[in-house]
Amino acid sequence: MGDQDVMKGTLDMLILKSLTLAPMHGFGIARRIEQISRDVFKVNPGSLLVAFKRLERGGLITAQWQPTENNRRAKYYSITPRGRRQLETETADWQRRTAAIARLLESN
Amino acid sequence: MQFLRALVAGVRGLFSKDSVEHDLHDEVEHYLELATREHLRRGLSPDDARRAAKLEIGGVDTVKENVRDYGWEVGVETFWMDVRYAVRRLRQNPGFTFVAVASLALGIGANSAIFSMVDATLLRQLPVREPDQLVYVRSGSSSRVFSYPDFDEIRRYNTVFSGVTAWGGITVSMGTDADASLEGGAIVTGNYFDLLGVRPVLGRLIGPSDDQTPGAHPVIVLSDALWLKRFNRDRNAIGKQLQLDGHTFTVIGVLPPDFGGAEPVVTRGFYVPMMMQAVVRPPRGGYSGEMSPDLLHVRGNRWLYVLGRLKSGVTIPQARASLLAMIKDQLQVGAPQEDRNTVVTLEPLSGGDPRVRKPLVAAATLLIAVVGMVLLIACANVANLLLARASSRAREIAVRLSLGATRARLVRQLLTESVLLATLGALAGLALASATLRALNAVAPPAEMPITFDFHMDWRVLGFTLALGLFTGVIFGLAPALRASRPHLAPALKDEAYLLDARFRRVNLRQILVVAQVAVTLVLLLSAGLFLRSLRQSQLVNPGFDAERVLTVPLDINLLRYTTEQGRRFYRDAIERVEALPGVESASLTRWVPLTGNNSVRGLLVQGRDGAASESRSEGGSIQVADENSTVVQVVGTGYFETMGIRLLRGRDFSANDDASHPVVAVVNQAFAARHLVGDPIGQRVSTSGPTGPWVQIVGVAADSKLMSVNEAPAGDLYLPVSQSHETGMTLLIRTTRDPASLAAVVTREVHALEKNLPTASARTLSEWMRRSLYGSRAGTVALLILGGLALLLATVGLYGVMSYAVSRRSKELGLRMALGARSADVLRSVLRDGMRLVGIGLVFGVALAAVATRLLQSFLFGVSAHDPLTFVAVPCVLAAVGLAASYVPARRATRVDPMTVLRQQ
Repeated sequence: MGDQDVMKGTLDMLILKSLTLAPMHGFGIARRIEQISRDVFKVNPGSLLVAFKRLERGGLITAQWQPTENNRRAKYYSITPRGRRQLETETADWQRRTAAIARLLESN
Repeated sequence: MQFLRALVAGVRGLFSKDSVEHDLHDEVEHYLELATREHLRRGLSPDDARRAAKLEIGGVDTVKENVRDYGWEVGVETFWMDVRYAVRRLRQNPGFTFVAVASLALGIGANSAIFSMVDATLLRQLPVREPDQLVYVRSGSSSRVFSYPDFDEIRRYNTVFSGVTAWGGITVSMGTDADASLEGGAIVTGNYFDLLGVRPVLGRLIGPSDDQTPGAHPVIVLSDALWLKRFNRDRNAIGKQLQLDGHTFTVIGVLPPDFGGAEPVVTRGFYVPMMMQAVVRPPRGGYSGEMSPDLLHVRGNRWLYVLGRLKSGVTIPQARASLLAMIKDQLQVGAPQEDRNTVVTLEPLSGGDPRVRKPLVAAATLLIAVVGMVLLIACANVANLLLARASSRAREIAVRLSLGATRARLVRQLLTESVLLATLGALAGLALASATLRALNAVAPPAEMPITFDFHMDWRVLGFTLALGLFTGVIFGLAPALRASRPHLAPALKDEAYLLDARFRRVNLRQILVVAQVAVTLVLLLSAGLFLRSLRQSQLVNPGFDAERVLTVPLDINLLRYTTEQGRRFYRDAIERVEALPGVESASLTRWVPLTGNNSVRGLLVQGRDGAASESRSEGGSIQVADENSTVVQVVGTGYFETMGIRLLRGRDFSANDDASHPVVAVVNQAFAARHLVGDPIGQRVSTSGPTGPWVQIVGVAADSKLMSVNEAPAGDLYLPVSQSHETGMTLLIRTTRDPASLAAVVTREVHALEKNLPTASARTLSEWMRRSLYGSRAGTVALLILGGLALLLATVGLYGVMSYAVSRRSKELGLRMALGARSADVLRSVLRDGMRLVGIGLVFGVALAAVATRLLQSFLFGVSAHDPLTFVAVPCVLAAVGLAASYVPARRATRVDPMTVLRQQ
């Protein structure tokens, strides 16, 4: 929690990024974000599920139910073309911003 | 697209809640399972692994709650929950709900009904193209109408209108024999419909080509109502023929149902071209067969209403100035003196005819003021109830606040409750209003004018009603809601009644509301009382004639084209035949049946008093006042005074000898003698036809009697015998020895045997005419009584509510006092005193308010002062008695408080 939490507004972007390779379920996405960020970010499942709902309604991801090995069902999310476009814009935006912040911090 | 997806998902969330909930559960469960498995792999025991997973997630229910809280449907959900809760609360208190909803329903219903009536009579726009450009052109003469040549000149020479049209009202006998009926319509110029921008629903309308040559265009356009009546809405009606006064007309078109002519309120049944004037609209009054029926070239006869469409950019003052200048220039040549001085005024279409509009506006203003007050009282009631409820719920609210509910949430929920209440009230009010309007439509005013009131609800009324309801709900829901959600938590939780609230804070909002209710109710009841007194006075007036056992049968021979001689013979024969009938005491004729609101006023010259004066003549349908130089003229048959039961004070009645071959004579009434004559009236000579005469010799003086209305001041009446002053629109008066209505059929048959083409008009008794003449006052009185009664009911409920609440609040104090030895009579007196103090203050304010307000009613009142002492004493007493009764019930309840029970609660 706290500073480990995913920065506000970036969670959506991270979810989309995780889904670019293959469809995944919620737990997988959470672990992937944590692993790739080398545990800098902790993902709160509550925020994660809300973010799924939000992205789904926005048409950026879609969901499919698939059976699990012990006869339950798992919800697999995949990114839509629209989601990919959104990710591209957001990534570009993000990079522009971080670069600007980096320049600001490094200037003297 | 995105909106749509959110919408669909939200709707799914609302309606397939189970499956959504199931999905959520599975997803969270799967997450948990995977997390648990991960912990197992790290070597934790299954229980610990599961616990760790749950900890990581941060509570399964919290997660679910977070997810559920996302999306627009959550708001709907909460709202729906609030509504259900509110419904449950309202059902738990059926008494409260009923009173609140009924109060609002009565207030809103009455307002909607009145608004619909005002809308129907004053606000509704005529269904015409660009009504803002249309203006009535009125002549300066008292009848405000134009002759055809006058109109023609305006049409030809004006520079301000893109078009001018004229029309006159006509009454014809339509059809033949058995299916003959008297119908009212209009005779219009060829551009009438085009100018108004009206389209036919069937066939075509009258156009300029139908209005070229006098007498050559016998075509007729039907209103929807007449199409229904004559052809049962048969689409094959086009091309069919209709007889109008015996002339064949061809139906060419049908108008839309909402179009009734270019005048608000007045509806015309059919339309014929102006060029057919000589056929369907012969001159009225003294017209007879030997005269020319043509009016298209007669300047002296004014009968046309004129409407113009202003060119764009021209204002009414500009147009008027231009028209006045034009009349000065153009009418100089060949126009009579009077026309040259013609003054015109322009009035916007929305104004309607001021003669019709003015009394309507006055009545509408009064009604709106009254129902507005009723609504205030109703709102005060609801506010009171909501306030009482809010404070009795203080404990519940305090508990919820202390359990962590937010104020916003509580306010929202209380607001939902009051809006729901208001909506229920508005809906019930709407139902009430539409029922009222249906009832009002059923009792249309008994006017002889072609007037129909079409009261119906429309979306504006609906909007008006709902807005009122919601406004009331929000205002009176919000105040108590805010107050209630901010109680002093500690005392409320301890369930300590606010001793401060009821007892020691002398004035509180709820008491003020009750005082206001009583005051406003008093104003309404006083107004109703004054109207009642005024009506009673009108009924007590001696009209100067004996209205019992008199039958009136119109004999309109105007359309028959009789010569004067034929007309006289017809009248003579008709009277002879009727007098021979069994049950008939005597029969006579009159130009105007008294109390039908008609009269004729003519210029008057008195020999020895006046020099030369101009002749002026106008007739019927509108209220005209005779001044020094004019008099009311009643043309009557022989035996009029005897038949009417009017006493002849001096001289003689008209006799069979007073015919064309003898000197012209007149009878005057006392008021005439007092006003115009000096000395003995008998033998004096007067003229109503200018200095050239004929000069009429007065042979008798009759007692004063009412002609226009029972409320009129004695007017100078000059009676002329029809045998010397021929008129075609006479009415048969028959004094009978039994119920006059029973003779109606046989008399009508006798007259039609004499002349089968006589237009059929209904026979009525004179007493019915008298009753009808008071229709307006009676309707006003009944309306005020109903509304006053409503107000009384609402105020009583309000007072009762406040007293009951006060008693329940004081039960501890009262119980204590009784335990300390107070007798129940003391308690009773104490509670009653509180109630009557409120009523008393209300009455004082009410009387003060009414003293000002009723003065505005004076013009509606007859024979009673706006500060009538009897009314101003009796009505407050009634209200005080009702107030006493309303406080007595709770007071009785207070005496039944058991001291032990109350004290044990402490």
